[in-house]
Amino acid sequence: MKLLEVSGLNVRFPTEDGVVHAVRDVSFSVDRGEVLGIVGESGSGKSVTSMAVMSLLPRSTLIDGSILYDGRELIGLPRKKQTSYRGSEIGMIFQDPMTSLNPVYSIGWQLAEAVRAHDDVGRKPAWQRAVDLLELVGIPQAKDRAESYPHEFSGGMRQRVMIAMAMANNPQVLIADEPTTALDVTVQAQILETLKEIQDRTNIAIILITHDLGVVAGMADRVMVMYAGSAVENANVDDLYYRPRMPYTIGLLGAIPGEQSDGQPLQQIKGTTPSLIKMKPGCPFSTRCPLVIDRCRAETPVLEPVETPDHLVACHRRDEVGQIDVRSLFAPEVVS
Amino acid sequence: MIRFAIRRLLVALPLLFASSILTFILVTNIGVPKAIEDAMAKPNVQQAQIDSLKRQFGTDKPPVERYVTWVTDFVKGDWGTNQNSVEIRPLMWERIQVTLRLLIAASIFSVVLGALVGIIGAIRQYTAFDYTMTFLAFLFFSIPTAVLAGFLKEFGAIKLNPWLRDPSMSIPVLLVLLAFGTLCGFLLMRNRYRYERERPLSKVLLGAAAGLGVAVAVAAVFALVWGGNTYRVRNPKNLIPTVGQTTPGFEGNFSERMQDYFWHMLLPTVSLVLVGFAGYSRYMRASMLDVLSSDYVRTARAKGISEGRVTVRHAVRNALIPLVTVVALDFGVLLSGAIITETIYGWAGMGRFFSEALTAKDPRSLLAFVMVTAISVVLFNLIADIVYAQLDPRIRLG
Amino acid sequence: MADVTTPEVLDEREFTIAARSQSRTIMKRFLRHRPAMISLVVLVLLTLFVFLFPLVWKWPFTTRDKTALSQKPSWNHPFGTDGLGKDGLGRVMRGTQRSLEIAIITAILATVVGVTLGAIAGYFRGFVDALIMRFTDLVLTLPLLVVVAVVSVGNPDAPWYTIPFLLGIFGWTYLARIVRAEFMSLREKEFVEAARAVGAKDRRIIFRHILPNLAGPIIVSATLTIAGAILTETALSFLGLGVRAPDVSLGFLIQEGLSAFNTRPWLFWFPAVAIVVVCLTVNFIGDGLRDAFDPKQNRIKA
Repeated sequence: MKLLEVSGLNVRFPTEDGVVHAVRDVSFSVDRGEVLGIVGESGSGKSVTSMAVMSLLPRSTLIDGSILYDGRELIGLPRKKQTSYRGSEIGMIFQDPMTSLNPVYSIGWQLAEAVRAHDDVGRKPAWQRAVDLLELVGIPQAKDRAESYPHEFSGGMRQRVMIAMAMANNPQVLIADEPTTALDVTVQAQILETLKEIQDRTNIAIILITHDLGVVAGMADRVMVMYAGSAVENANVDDLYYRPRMPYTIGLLGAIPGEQSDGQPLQQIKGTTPSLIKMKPGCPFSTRCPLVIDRCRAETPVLEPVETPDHLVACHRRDEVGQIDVRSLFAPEVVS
Repeated sequence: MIRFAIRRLLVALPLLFASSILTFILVTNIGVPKAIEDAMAKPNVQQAQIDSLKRQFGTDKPPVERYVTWVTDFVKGDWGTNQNSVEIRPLMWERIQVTLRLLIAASIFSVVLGALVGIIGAIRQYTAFDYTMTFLAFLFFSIPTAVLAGFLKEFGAIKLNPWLRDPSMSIPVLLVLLAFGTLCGFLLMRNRYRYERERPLSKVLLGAAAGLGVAVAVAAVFALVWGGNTYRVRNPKNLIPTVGQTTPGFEGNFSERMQDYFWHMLLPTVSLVLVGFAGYSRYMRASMLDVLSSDYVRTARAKGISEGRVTVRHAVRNALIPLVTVVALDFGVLLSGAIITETIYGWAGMGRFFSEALTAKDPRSLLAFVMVTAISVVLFNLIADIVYAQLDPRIRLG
Repeated sequence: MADVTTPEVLDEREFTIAARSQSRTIMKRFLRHRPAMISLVVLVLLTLFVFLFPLVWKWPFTTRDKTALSQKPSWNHPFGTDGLGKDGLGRVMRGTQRSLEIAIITAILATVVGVTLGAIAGYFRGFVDALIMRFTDLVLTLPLLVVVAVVSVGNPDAPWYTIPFLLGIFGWTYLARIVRAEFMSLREKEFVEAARAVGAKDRRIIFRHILPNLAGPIIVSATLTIAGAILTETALSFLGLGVRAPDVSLGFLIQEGLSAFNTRPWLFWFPAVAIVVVCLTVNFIGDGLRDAFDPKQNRIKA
């Protein structure tokens, strides 16, 4: 059994305008030493999914399904219990390092706080651990820098501090929610390197959430593509990139500018994501899909294997997609 | 830190200088001092009389010369004499002490109370407590100080004193009232909407509030017991006074004098606090809400810290920072409120000093008054800057 | 090929549809805010009443009804009368008129001055900014009440509109600070660079691009200034330095009423309630506006 198994996860937010069904029936799993990439546009539900695993959602949120960590069910646990898992078993880093650290405390203080949250150690040993953690993520002169404040660090360094904080109690799972989106490309590479090193060293499971397919290609073992709250494709990284079988995935891949698009109009997926409040029946992508048929609008497709048992696709025409040149069906950008 | 303070001080000096010029222009525009006006209105007035009056008030010299003389004297500590030939500086010093008592007490209580209410309102957003406090804040916000002070004077003292002289409420009734109050308090904290984040240690904050209340009560009881109930004995007429800041000619031991101060300060302070805490609570609530939805609070939660610690150590600590600046900048408003309150309660403080100076149109008194105000404003801004730097390392080291 | 910098062309390039639908969203949010809506209705009704009813009411505020001195409220005089026989209702209406007029003029003046100075300081920065900031500090060293009181004493015959003039001239500091801060952060944003790249001049950038973003805080601040002005005027009148007889303002009436509180409480209560109602409604409206422009609520029903 895998370390983290999520099945049938549904997350609903009651709001003034109606119930927002942000995550619909999502299932995935990740094991020690694995990297799972979760890919999708803004609003696809990828962040909400990870927040649900970390139990960071507001009290009024309706969550059902099952999140099994090491065989133990996390949904429905009392709040105190959930807090004990956070940070010690599952760690998380967020998107914007510039605002994710408390500006009034030194980073050494904040790291030590993370340590002492789950481990009953004194101030001095906690501080020492903090310094060690900084060294671990590659901050030079860790001993001195530990007394500095966040605003004295660059974005890349702050993100490293975040990684150190997430690793402070040696969790078994690390969730990275768009860790590189706010950083320069060179720094991106460094951060991803750091994550890889940590995984080599500690064999943790990593869930990497991003909208950047390039990042996922370099890091992930498996990839799950999300659209409008549902998982639409779930495959190992090779299958996803070389043999995508969901039109949305193909559209995403096609939209990446590469060498061959030099001088060509850029490809795009026309239309916008549907509202998550009043969802029509059928496939959520049906309004934008070039392969759409009547059945797509009536019946919601379910994740089912195509070609191999571990390549799951939610599309009624999954068996035909391999034969059609879907990519060319996505109209390129029209410039008037 | 010292360097920071000194730098700020150096910036403040030219400001004070410019302020003195502005003050001078302002005050000299007030026209002729009343004493001279009265004299000129008399039928058989002699020019020599007028001239000597002018010399006394200093209005016989040209403006620039007057200004230079005044500034140099002021800095040396010679603030001149007022319309009754009383020396200004010692008089003002007396008056300032009185006003300062009121200002300090009012400031402390309104900030602490406002902060607590704001914090709890933010954490328990949309509870009955939050709505009630919001409404009360708006209400007190919208009452002019004069109205509130007058109202309290009437109902908090004049109507209340006869009852206090001979309280006729029985113990069981008192207990029932207490129980009712507690039940109300408990109900207010329930949530109308099921939305809220964690139910964090409002325990901590309620504990703090309760602790404060208990401390005050204990201190009061202790004082009464220690000092004996002799205060009541000595001053049987009105327990809650409405005029003056002390009972005139009151002699007693330290505790009795403290009690005297306390009872005289009660209503004026409450007036100022009610208006002050309203503003601060709204401000603090907004600041807390801002902070509670920030990324670093999310990080703190993700670390697995208890919600109470997140609230206090991370949220409150950051939410207090903007409040500090507001409190310091508010000094001018606070002073205005104090002037009004002092007038209503007949205190002999800066308020009275100001009114008397205005009525007499005495330039020297007014100059001294306005300059002292300006200096206080600058001083408080300086203190605020320093405290702000202490609280926010970005300012300290940036 | 059309000239690239004509206003119509610039409009097309600079603005998108998003800007227009935003004001609709804001309006919708404001209308949802119940206390603000109630307050708006109350305030509008009150204002109409105090400005229109005196035209038909039989007791002008200066007339002395010698037959009814110090009367309790009655059908003839719903708000009672004072020692000289002047009608309470008439005086409260007039007082409310005056107070409202003073408050609005103050708010307009303070807003104009505050926004202008704040915009200039925040946009041009450097020396200009430092100069304006020092000037602001200077103005702040003298409390508003003190300044207006002193000027008032020196010019006892000045017409009533000098009060809002002074209040506005000295009360703009709060707004100036906010506007300046916003300008300083907004001018760095890309849309300003974009506008400049298309050829827009400074004045256009300030007024057409940055300023509309501040509509929220400006409107909110103006509303709060109104409430503040009423309170300050009350304080002034209380010290005898605001609106002078024979004219009345609510502050003036309260001062009269307070001294007669024991014997003729109605002289105090009616103006007091009037002030509180006006200030309360203005404050609620301000709060509603603030929420409409920048909602921080996450109201989720159970």
